[in-house]
Amino acid sequence: MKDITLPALALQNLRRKPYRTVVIGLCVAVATGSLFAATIVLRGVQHSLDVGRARLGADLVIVPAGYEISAQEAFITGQPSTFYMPADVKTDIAALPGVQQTSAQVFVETLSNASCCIGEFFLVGFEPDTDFTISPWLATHLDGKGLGPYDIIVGDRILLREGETVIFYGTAFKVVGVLERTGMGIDRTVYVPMEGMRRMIADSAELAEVTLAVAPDEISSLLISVAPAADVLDVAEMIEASLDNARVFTASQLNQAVASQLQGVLGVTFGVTAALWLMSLLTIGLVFSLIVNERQRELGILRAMGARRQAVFRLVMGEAGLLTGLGGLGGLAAAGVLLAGFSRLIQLRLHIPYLLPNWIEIIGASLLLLLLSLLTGALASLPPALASSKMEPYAAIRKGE
Amino acid sequence: MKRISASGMVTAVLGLLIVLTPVVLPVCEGLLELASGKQIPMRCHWTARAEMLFGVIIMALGLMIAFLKSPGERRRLHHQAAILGAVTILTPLFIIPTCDNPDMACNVGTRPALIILGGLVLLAGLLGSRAPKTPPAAEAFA
Repeated sequence: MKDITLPALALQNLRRKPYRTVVIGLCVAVATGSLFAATIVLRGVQHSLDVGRARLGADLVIVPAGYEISAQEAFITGQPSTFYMPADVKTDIAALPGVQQTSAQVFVETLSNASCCIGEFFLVGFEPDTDFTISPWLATHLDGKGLGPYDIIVGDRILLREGETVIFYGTAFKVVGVLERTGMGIDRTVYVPMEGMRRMIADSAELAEVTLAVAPDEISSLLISVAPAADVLDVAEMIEASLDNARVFTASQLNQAVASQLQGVLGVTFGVTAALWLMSLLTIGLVFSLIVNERQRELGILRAMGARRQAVFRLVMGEAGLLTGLGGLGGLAAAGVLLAGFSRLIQLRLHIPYLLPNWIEIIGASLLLLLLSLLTGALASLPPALASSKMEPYAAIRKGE
Repeated sequence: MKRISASGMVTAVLGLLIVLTPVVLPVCEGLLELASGKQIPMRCHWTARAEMLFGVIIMALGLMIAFLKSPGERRRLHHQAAILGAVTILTPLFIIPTCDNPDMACNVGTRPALIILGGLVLLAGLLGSRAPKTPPAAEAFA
């Protein structure tokens, strides 16, 4: 005959009441899963912002007045946005103290039937000589080879690969590089050298269905790198004071824009999750006190057969631990599968940047939440476990009859 | 009275969810224009149609599993449900692949939902098709 072990007994007890087990397990699974998903989305947004800001390279960005929000949206999600201001702002800004380097960009939106891709994408004209967004990448990935006027670099989400040719507004461009994924708008951007961009704009009247109305002396944004000794906010204030029809925003304001977008959704998620945890805690406590009452006779017999008080205590705690542990594991697995499948949908619906955090963070969060679900079970079942272990065998058998 | 099979009901509900997926998470709505000028729906439109058909079959299988009494029949139907679950997964990936652009509606919503639901049908089918632990002797003599 097989020996009766505590884990086997606990498992058997759980299997005896499948409906109760599944319902409590689901409570814990939903609480653990939603907390895991909210944590990973939050960390994913932060990771994406870090990578994206590092790629952007600029400390400050100047855009025409009234376009700050759409410019931030464009940097964060890659939602195409076109606006223009006179290019002479560049010479004015470059002369200011604390400004180390400036680089202009011109934004153009692709037509929805562009040969590469369905939908509108962002074409960004950049100056290879002064740029600090793409040029550091070019130096390491193109072995120092120069960039021709019709050579383009594309983001990871553009369906083009190295060596392919694509036509925008009637002008053919050759893809010479694909940038690594950042989770931000850069992934949906096509970088075109300024010379090629200006020629494309000029030729669009003859070659394209739609003529681009961008004057040769117009730019969309000016990226600024601040000198290491200067304070970014001081330089920003100085620039703001010297400009009439343009506004400046700092790279850290991109974080704030995302934070304000996320605040509502994540606030509700965390609130609901906290309520779920509390509900699970109370439910488990209540159910286990009922279980202990219902099984007084069984526990009394166990004690009469020689089981120590400690064994009865461990049996009740073990059942709760097993239940919450399995529920927690199920919740983590379900949240992991849903996050992996729908991360892009979440990103598009919430208009947030997202890049999967590194594995150490994911494993750390999983272990921490699993521990939290086990602790919930332990905390909730502690009073009934203590009460059951204190019962006298004879009284327990009589009361349970 | 014979109990209704829980795995059969789960399979039927999953089938219903597969039918509803293209309604809740629609595929791309645009039309492609051929060189002849004729406009045709995108590839993912047919993926959705095929998956809805598989969903109906899975739902019917689930209901049959739930209400059939013979364990042997139930196992056979579970096998068929598992195969259909695998087909549900393979359809948007290889059989009738969704659009190429990973950002399009069919790829961000419909495809992952169908793969997850197909995986659950496969799992329910495999778990349900396991041999019972004790031979159904009582039923044989009932």
